[in-house]
Amino acid sequence: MGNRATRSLESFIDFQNIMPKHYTSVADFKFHDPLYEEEEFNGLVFNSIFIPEEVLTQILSFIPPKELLPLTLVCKKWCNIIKSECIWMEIYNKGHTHRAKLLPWYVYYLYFTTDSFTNLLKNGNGKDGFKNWVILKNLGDQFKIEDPPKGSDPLPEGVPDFNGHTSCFVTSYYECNKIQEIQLENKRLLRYVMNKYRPQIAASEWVAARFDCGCEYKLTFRGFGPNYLPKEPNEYVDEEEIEDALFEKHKSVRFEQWAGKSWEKVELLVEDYPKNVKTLVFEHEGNDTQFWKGHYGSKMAGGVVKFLFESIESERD
Amino acid sequence: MSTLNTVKSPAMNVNFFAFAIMPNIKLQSSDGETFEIDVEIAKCSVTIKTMLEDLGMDEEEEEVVPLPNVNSAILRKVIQWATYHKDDPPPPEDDDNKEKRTDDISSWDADFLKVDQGTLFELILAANYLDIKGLLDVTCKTVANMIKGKAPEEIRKTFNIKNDFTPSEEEQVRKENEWCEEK
Repeated sequence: MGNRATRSLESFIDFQNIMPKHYTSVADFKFHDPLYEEEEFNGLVFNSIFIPEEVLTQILSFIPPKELLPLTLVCKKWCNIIKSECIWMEIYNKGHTHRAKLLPWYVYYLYFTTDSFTNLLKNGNGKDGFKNWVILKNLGDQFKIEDPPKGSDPLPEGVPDFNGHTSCFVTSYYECNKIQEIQLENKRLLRYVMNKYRPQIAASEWVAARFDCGCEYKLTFRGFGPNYLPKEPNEYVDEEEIEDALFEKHKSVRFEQWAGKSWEKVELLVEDYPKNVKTLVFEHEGNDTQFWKGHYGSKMAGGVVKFLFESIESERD
Repeated sequence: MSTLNTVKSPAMNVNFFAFAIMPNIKLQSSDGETFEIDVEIAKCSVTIKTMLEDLGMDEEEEEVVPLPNVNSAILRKVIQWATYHKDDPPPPEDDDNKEKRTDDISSWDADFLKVDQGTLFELILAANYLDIKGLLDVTCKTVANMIKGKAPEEIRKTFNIKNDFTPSEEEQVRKENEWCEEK
């Protein structure tokens, strides 16, 4: 306790100097690390009854994570509790069988309050038509949404990737290709965590063919830096721009005729990437192999782009 | 000295026979009142359970367990809670991704906790000291519900907390919080 008091007193004196000047730049940003020097009992006395810090931590751990951050403004004691790892690990432990790792509070905050570790991709089943997608090639009889999928098995049940939806995208006899761009520009906390911890990124999707027709499918996942320009529908994407990608992973699947009606998951894993990734691009394309009129091409559903929380190890430096 | 009849709930009558054959234990509150209860009920407190095991207190002896941190009014409430919950199954292993909820307080517990703020916080302290997880959880949830949805200023007023930030520190915290949110 005495040790901590000394530490926070020093930091208090130094406080003005360590204040980050630019709040928007992820590279320059620093969290206010040392604890605030608090008045001994303020924030721990309720109705003249002293409540130990670990009990207040228990109480606050029942507040929804999203509502926790504003409570840092109540007083220094509450701020110090909420901006420390204990309370977040406590919250994590209540909901998981495996124990929480020792990670700063903000990593858990990102985990609990954003889609970063669940799914950043939107409308992966075509529930909202082609919203969130940019169609780059729409050849043959074009992309279509089927609910439920025609000529293949229905989507497997109980898979969270589908978010309870039963529909899928389906391609045609010439190439159909679309992308979804995930902008990280405004996701400062995520980029901060990316730079510091490099959590692995997983991109995945479920694919199937019609029972009576062969088809091809390709999933590509790329990360771009600040120079990436968002694409317009039907825009021609030149090779040079693709070469600028900070990383690229892809996987192709070919279904033979009479062999592809069950759904399979295609997965890509990005294990390392440079700093400064600003845009993630999920791209899928497909067509049938028999050149049949209509929608006999590959079917896709349940696209997911997520950071793997379990890949984060405790602090690097 | 008050005994068994400190709790007058129907549940007590139903279990009267069980009481008669179960060994009892005497708990003494900070203000000297003694409560005689079923030892199995007392053992929902990990603190008492450990005490009995570690000290090898013989259940057949007429020994009194002193609880210097709990007064008689609070101990009576704790015993009432423990008696009602004595047949509860042990808490299930936490499932993955199960959210922590504060709205799952049973109606009996909610009624039981319709007490003034002072009593509620004393119950929390007692549950913490006696290490009764179920009671600690439900009392903490009740206070969490009092905090939820309130602005910092309202919370300070409710619990009589002083704003000990300097304006520049407050601004620093506010900005850091803002920075964490997606624009």
